[in-house]
Amino acid sequence: MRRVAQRIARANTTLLFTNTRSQTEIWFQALSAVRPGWEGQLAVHHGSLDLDERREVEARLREGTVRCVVCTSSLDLGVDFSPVDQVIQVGSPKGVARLLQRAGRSGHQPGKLSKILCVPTNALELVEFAAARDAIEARQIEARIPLRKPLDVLVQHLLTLAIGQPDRPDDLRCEVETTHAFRGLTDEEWDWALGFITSGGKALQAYPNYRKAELVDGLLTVRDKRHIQLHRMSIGTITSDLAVTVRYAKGRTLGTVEEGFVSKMNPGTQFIFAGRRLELISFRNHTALVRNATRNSKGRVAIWGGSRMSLSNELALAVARRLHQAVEETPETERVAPILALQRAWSSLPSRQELLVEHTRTEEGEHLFVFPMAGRLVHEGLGALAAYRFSRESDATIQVSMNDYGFALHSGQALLLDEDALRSALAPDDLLDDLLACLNTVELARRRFREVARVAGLVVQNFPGRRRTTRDLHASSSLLYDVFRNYDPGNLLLAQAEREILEQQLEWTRLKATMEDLAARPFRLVETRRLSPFAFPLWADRLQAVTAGKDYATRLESMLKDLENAALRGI
Amino acid sequence: MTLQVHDHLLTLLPEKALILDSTLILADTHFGKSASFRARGIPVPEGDTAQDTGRILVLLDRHRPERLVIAGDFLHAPEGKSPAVLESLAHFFSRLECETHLVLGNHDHRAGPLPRDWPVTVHESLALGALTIVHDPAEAPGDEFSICGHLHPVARIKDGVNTGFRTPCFWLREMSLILPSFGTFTGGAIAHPADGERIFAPLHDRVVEIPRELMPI
Repeated sequence: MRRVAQRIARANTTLLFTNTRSQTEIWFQALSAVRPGWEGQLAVHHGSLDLDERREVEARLREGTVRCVVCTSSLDLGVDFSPVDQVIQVGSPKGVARLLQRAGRSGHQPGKLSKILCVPTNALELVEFAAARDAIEARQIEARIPLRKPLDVLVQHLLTLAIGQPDRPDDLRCEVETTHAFRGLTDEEWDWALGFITSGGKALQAYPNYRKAELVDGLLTVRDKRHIQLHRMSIGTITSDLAVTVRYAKGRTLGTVEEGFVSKMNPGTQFIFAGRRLELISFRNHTALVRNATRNSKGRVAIWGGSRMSLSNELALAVARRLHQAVEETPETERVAPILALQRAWSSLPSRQELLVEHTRTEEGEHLFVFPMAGRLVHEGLGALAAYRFSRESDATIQVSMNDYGFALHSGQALLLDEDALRSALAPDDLLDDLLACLNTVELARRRFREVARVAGLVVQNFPGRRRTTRDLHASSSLLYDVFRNYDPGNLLLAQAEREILEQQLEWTRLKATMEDLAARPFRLVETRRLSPFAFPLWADRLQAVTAGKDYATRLESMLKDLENAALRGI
Repeated sequence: MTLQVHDHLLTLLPEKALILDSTLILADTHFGKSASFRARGIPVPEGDTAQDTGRILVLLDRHRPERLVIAGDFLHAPEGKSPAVLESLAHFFSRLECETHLVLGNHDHRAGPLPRDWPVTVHESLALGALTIVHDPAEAPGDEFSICGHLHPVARIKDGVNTGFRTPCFWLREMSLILPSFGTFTGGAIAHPADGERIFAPLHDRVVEIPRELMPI
């Protein structure tokens, strides 16, 4: 902390990148605490801040009147801040391209060198930094995968066009198909989208009396003023649910936090947001009124949900190489050498040539640690799959935890170090069926559908002052999901949600490739007496571990039974 | 699951309804909700009307009550009274063999009067023995036990280990029992039971009480 502050003191203007919005708030507070003299010279920038707040910070950056901006990827892209002469990355950048992008914010002029200073938050991140440098030198940088056929966006866009200027559907299609995302749109998909905004969908009887847009003299038109108004209110593709606006009682809006964060607080509670220490005055109508806190007590830092980023495939590969010293020592790897030596002595270093599996027995039971080195998201899928297949054989309850290096299975009963059993648990056969069965994909797709439904205009947001007119139109996206599944199962928006879940959430393509690769790798099975340095974080994460998805009645039944058993033991 | 209130026996059904003596009571069907969405330009498929009238008919067939009481919000909104919805509800009423009562809810008031030829008796509140049926618990008489709807109570269940979930529930308060919403296309609001209040939820083919430990605040 102190050394980061020293580096900031030496530069004119610094961008300090963190990986989450909460971390920006924490770092901002910490920097303010160690350097009270910098008051007014520090700023925060992240996606939940009000646009005006962000613009002000960006303007100050351009003028060079701010010493350091603590930010997330909200400042990764686009804006050119020539006075920035130092960029600091806190924690793993998780990807090579992201690190390059962030570094590029400094010396942002032709012929100037971009530099980035990396600050690790744990020892293994040192290896990730070194590996990122290897990958940059070898030009192994992630490709960006563009979106394919987001039909929710198409539906919204067509309505916007029809409201703006009525046009012939064929002309609209020609224009839409010039984009990469909608290249190769099939007749079926086009007709569906057109049908969805005019008559409802394929089965006409499923949408009686519905008409939003219509063809007038061959032109797609929206005539009903109320439809136009409703559409204008919900335009946009960035969805955030249950956002609560944070505003000063005097009127200035600071940004948004999640409802779950505010609803747990009482008036008078202090919290940290937008780099300020605030006190809650009142919370109603999705607005939290605040004032600057006068007392200096410890406040809670605003938190936002969001999944943890996964290490990219390129960086994971580079880390695996780096662990095996395929390249020469660097200052970073020298520092972690003692930890790596311990790992080598007790077990072995994970690699991508073989599959390292450790088995450890603790007081709680048996643990299997598997290290495919393929990134968090892939391990999530692999872990769930292995747990599902193991528990299908026995009645054991198995918990799964995962990180970027591997995953772990925890169980009270026998989890043996048996290569045949492991190989069949990780075999790519029946992958899709098993994955759908074990991951409660319905639940995942339901969550994904929230965004799809919002973009497609199915969910009507509440607006201050408009509550009465739209109150009858309230339905949660999860309710809508059920209604569509029951009464219009062929709806392409459902298919989109499911496809996006497989591809984005589970990284289906990468998961499949990893499993095929694992099937060909030799396994290295190691019995360890104590948790190895690589196993320890997975063991520590087991408390937040997720159990395999089951239906609601089964879950309730087992919760009731656990409670009963606990009560019996108490007697 | 049965509860004794005064001299009455209340049987909570996992189908989100209850039997009181020989009366079947359910609340918040919100018929015509998807139709009112469509009328306002939001494409939501039809299907809930047929599904929910079917569910009521199954219950009537199984329990053979003398009386059916809807504890409010039978209809959702004026826009929802589309010809198709009214026609399928008329068909539903033609098949009923018991007397039918509707205790009006806030949505019924907005939706306007029912067609005259429907065999439904309409009430602001309805006394059944020592109990009163009224839609909104805020309008219940304080000194009599009431059966209400309106709140669409949902229990948030979590044990601190496994992932939590939500389920529609019955909510027993000191002087009232709140029914879960019956309609397929209706949402819910999380119930926050006070000390001494009890929550019951469907589990397979029965209704069980949810222990306080599984509903942390």
